[in-house]
Amino acid sequence: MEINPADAIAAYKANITSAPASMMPGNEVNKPSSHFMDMVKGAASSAIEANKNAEEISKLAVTGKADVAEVVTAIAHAETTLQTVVSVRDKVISAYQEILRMPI
Amino acid sequence: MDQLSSTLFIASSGMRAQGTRLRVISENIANKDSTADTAGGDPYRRKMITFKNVMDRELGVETVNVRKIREDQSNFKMLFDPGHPAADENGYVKRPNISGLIEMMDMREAQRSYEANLSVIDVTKTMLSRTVDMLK
Repeated sequence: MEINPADAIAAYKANITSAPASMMPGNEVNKPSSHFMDMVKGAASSAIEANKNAEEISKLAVTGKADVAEVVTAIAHAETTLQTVVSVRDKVISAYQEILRMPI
Repeated sequence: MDQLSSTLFIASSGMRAQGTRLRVISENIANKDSTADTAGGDPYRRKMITFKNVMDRELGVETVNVRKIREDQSNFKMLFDPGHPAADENGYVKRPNISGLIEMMDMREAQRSYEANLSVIDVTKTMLSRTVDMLK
């Protein structure tokens, strides 16, 4: 089978341009960290959301408009969400420190 | 929302429903001796509560709600007491159709159901925090 170098170069070029932007040489430093940032941001905002909800229901309970059971569940949910976020953060920071301590 | 977190809210809806049930039972017990204030009038009628499952659109799960609080249509107890202001022409007073024993058993059942839901919350919380503890 005969391979034309020009065809091979054209195919290579087509592959490169159709690759996702994150795989392009210039972007590979920025992209993964911004994905991680999005993940952390999403987790933190869901924890904040749960906390706000718990506060709202606590407020309603103080004025006698919500159940004790509802307050307890909302706070338990907020607590576990925050616990998860804090644990993930701790784990990530310890991994980062592990990398910093690495002898070069 | 993940499965364990929605479990918390389902159990909470069960606790709310049992709380309403206890409220109805307490109304019945408190009004065990409530009679009419006119001669031959009807006294307090026993209330009954029924539950239904409700699809929670936000969580996508089945929670429980109070379907209806209706009145027990069974006969009133008749007591011969001619001096009572609510006595009819034959001297009989209509007493509420409430039996203390039944209300007590209902109350115990509400308590047990409430405790079951509490246990669900307890177990769910333990499972969640044990899972998160895996990270530490």
